[in-house]
Amino acid sequence: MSRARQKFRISGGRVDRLKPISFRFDGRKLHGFEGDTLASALLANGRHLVGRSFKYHRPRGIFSAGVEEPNALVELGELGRLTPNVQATTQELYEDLSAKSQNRWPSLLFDVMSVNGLISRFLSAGFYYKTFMWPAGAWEFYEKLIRRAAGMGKGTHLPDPDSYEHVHDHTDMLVVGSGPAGLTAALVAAEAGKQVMLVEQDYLLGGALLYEGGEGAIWLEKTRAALDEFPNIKILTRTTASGYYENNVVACLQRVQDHVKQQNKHIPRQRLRHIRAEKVVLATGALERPFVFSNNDLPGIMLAGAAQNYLNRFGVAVGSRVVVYTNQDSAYDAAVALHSKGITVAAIIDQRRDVPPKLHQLTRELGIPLYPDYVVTEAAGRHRVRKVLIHTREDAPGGKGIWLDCDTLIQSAGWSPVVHLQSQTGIKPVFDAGSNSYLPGKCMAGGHGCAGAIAGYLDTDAAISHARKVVKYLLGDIKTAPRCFKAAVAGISAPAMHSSHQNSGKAFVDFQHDVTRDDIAQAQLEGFKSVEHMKRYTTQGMAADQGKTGNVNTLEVMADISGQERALMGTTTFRPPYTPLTIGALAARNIGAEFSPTRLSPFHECHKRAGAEFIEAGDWIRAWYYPKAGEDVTAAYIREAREVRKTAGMVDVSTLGKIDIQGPDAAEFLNRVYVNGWKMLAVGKARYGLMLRDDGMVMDDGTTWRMGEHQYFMTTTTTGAGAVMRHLEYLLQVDWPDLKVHLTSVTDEWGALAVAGPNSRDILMSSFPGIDFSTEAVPHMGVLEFESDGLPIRICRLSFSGELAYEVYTRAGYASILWDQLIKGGQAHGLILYGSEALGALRIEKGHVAGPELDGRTTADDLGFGGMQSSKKPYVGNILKSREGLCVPNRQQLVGLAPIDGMVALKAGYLLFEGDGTEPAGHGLGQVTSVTYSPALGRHIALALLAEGRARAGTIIRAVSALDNQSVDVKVCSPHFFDPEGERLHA
Amino acid sequence: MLERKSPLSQHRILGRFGVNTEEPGITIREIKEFRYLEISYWDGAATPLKSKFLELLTLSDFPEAGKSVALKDGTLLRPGPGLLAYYGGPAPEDILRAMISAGEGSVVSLSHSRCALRLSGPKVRDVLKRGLRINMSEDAFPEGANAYSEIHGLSVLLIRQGKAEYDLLFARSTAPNIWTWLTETAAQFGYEVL
Repeated sequence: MSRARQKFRISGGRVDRLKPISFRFDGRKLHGFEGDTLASALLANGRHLVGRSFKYHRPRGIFSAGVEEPNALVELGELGRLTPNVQATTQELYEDLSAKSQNRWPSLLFDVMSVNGLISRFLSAGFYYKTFMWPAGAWEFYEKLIRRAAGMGKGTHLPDPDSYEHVHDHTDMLVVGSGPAGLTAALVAAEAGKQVMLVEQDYLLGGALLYEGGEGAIWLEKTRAALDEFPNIKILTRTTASGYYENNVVACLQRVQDHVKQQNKHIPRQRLRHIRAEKVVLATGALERPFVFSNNDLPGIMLAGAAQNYLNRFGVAVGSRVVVYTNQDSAYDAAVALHSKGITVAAIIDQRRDVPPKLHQLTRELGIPLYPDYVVTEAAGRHRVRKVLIHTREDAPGGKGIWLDCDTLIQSAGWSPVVHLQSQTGIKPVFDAGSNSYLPGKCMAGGHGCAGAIAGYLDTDAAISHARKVVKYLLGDIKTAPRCFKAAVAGISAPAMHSSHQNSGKAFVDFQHDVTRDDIAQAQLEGFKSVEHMKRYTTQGMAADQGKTGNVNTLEVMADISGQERALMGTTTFRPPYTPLTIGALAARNIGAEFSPTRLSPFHECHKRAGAEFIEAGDWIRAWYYPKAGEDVTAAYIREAREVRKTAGMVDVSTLGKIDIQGPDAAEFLNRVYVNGWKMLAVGKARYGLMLRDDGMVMDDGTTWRMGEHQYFMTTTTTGAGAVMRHLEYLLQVDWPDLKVHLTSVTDEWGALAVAGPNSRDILMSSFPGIDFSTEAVPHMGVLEFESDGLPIRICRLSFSGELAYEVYTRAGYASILWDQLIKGGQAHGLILYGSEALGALRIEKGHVAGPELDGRTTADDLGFGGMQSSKKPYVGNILKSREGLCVPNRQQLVGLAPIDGMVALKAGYLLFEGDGTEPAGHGLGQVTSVTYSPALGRHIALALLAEGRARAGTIIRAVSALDNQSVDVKVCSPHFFDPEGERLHA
Repeated sequence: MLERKSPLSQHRILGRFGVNTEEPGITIREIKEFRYLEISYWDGAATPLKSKFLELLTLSDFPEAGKSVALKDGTLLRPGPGLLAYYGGPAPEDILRAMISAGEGSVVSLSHSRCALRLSGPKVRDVLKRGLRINMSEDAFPEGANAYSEIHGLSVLLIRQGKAEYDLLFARSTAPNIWTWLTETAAQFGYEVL
């Protein structure tokens, strides 16, 4: 029943006729068989017209049978799975597949935008550089219209419901392609005991053997069976090698579930495999080329090999009256195959004057009219080719010519080796005048070899023999490197002639981007003579098919027009990917919440239990604030900060970077890294340190504790931890390899809580009974280590809040035990939890710098740390901090800002201007860096970097935001708003 | 003795997940209360240290780079140049600290900073190769082999414990990221959390 509806389905082929499949194209239900591609099924149903072209909206049909397809692009799926620009020629058919034609409105048969063809003289190459430019400013209006009118299909903004993944493979030998050369290469390598991976973009092995028939088909079956005997061969079908990178790394896209109706949710839709191979064999074959003539884009005009493919592999006749157009022998195979299936071959048009006698005899025997020394100059038809005009080569492009009726024209202007992957390694292809094509620049190079048709060996036996030699050479079994077959050297010559009838329709060189012969000529006239310039100007070869069938013809046309020699014209550069990749495959699992890793504190669950709201801080998720009923972030942080100063609070500081520093030269190392001195720091004491970059700017700050004679414990800022670790490792490994110092990141090893506030000492005493926390035992910057009921504790008395405070550390796995112990110990002392927002408010009140002030552009002196810098020792950044530009008096310096109206809030980023009433202009005197409402002062305050800031103390300036349309009078003051003498700290 | 809290305690749910297979492609078991110590040594200290290790830890041999040797309760790994690591049960931490002078090297305990999973089953390599760039073939990564690498941009240490058995160590702060990656990747083979 299904067969009956498929008007052009004939006998034979590799489809499974016992498994009929229903599918839809533009809503219409059609039928095919398992083993069909969407294209073969459409052709079986007599559908040649499948899309509209990019610019002129011309009707387009199925042109090829593979990845080179420029025309038959369809939209597949719906909602989040909607995928545009799917090649019908590579899409396997499955039950209920639903495809839509693209780039047409309202329908494929009647596309309103085809009027573009009537105004095509205004839409030639680079038209958007010259037209639609006036009046000035209107381009943005035109651009939207132009983009809407053109296009290759529309994607979706909905989330992709499928998953993707990356895989890393290693193998002795990777073989790309499974035609006769690829299969031979895999077999020979496997016989030699090598681990072999064979990747094939098709879902069947065999390449051209799948449709050539005869002895090739028998060889294919035998070889496939032989491969099955080797457990050391891994075969990946539906896998396209799309990029060839350094050290024999080949990226391959494996389409895992694109061919099934119901995808398994546990299995990814596609995999991007990164294959690292000792040796690589490129057996990528060759692609057939078309001719350039008027209206060569009509549906029904296709490649000869494709017609043979549809006939023999899929059991589909591409037409009922076929004209064959060629300049070489292989198209005769297609003609014979069609004839043998009862399809009328109306004529063979052969550009060659001297067609081989055996082909004359063949056509005579078959009764096929042969027109040697003729060219096709024009095709005619509306939605399908109906006739073609031929001329003798001498008469073209003038003369009357002969019209031949047909419903299909199949053509072959020769074969282009698929040199893309080798070209990606940096090896330029070389022109072979005999085959009119580009061959690999080197047959054997850098651990890879080109085997078979890619190397010019189009004959099956020759390809097999060549592949065997390539593998044996790669394995070191033979010493003579195999070479490419150069037709010119062998005395073979079959140049193509691209000729259009005078004043007839457009002749396309690039179907997918609607680039015509006239566009190439125009580019030449306008001075874009280099192939690279021409490509950018016309966009030839820049669409999804990357000019697979059009590049060589373009160069031929350029040579015709310019008179340049082909061999000297060069080619454009092939870049990955060979065929389009989905963004999903590139992103794989690095999406959504997994786009980049997030780090959780060992107290994370404790925070959750305490009802914290969280915020991202670098890679970390930190507790932001702990709201009580009805509180927003502002209300919560004000309460938290107020309570810290009143009683005590506890904040998670586990996210600080922590580095274990050990070695006999550790003190010397610190002395060189920090601006201040470290050699006198006693065991059991900590010190604040400031480190500079080489260029004299402040890099990071933190405290470092001396834990033993040769061991220190450094803390860094949360966001600076990674950079500091890299910086220190670099210094040790490159600048000071003589120092015996080891660095180990122990950020994850320790959980840390800061207990701050007047009651903090009492809380520690309640939490750790028996431990002496008096000032004598634990002075400011004193360090204490002990065990409390088996819980290892490391404490340093230091403060970021300005209160009496302690940082309490324990091993991360015991973090929740420490949390519970401190909560319990703090119950009687008013201990509250505070988050990073309140932490920020407290540090701004104290004028402590953090990320906004350590922005990589400030010096120690800018931040008020000038006095810390030792003059008795060298340290990183010591020399360049004295650069003239870093010592000028008008440097921006850290100051405090107090709005005159204390209830007016500033925002970080407000620019600072003189308060003398002049109109604000330019970048101003500086900018606000950190802002908060100060619970301690009952007003808004800010930190800022201000030119000559310290000298301006007491003056009134303006903080201005053009974005907020705000201008706020502020008084410049010391950044130390609260307890400037530090009395609370030393309580 | 205090119990170490796992960073995966809220993520690790026991049972079978992913595609239905007769046998799970991979089983995942968290290793708890393990010890992991890194021992760094300076250039020139390798020879005296080797002698000390052989004598004091009664080692059969000093591990080659990227390999390991068995100790009484654990394994001594050599995952990098100038770097050894003890991984296993109760650590001979005091012995190590005593035997290595400041002039020879240093010892750092990272037991709490790491999370460890034992991965085993017929598809364990298939799962791991979806994140790791390491060549895990028999020749390149035999039993006992170990190497630092990364998964999903996160540093991991891989130790091959058996023919189809690996231990994966990673930072505890990023453990949920690794867990998500692992379980999503393993679902296609079917996995069991023990």
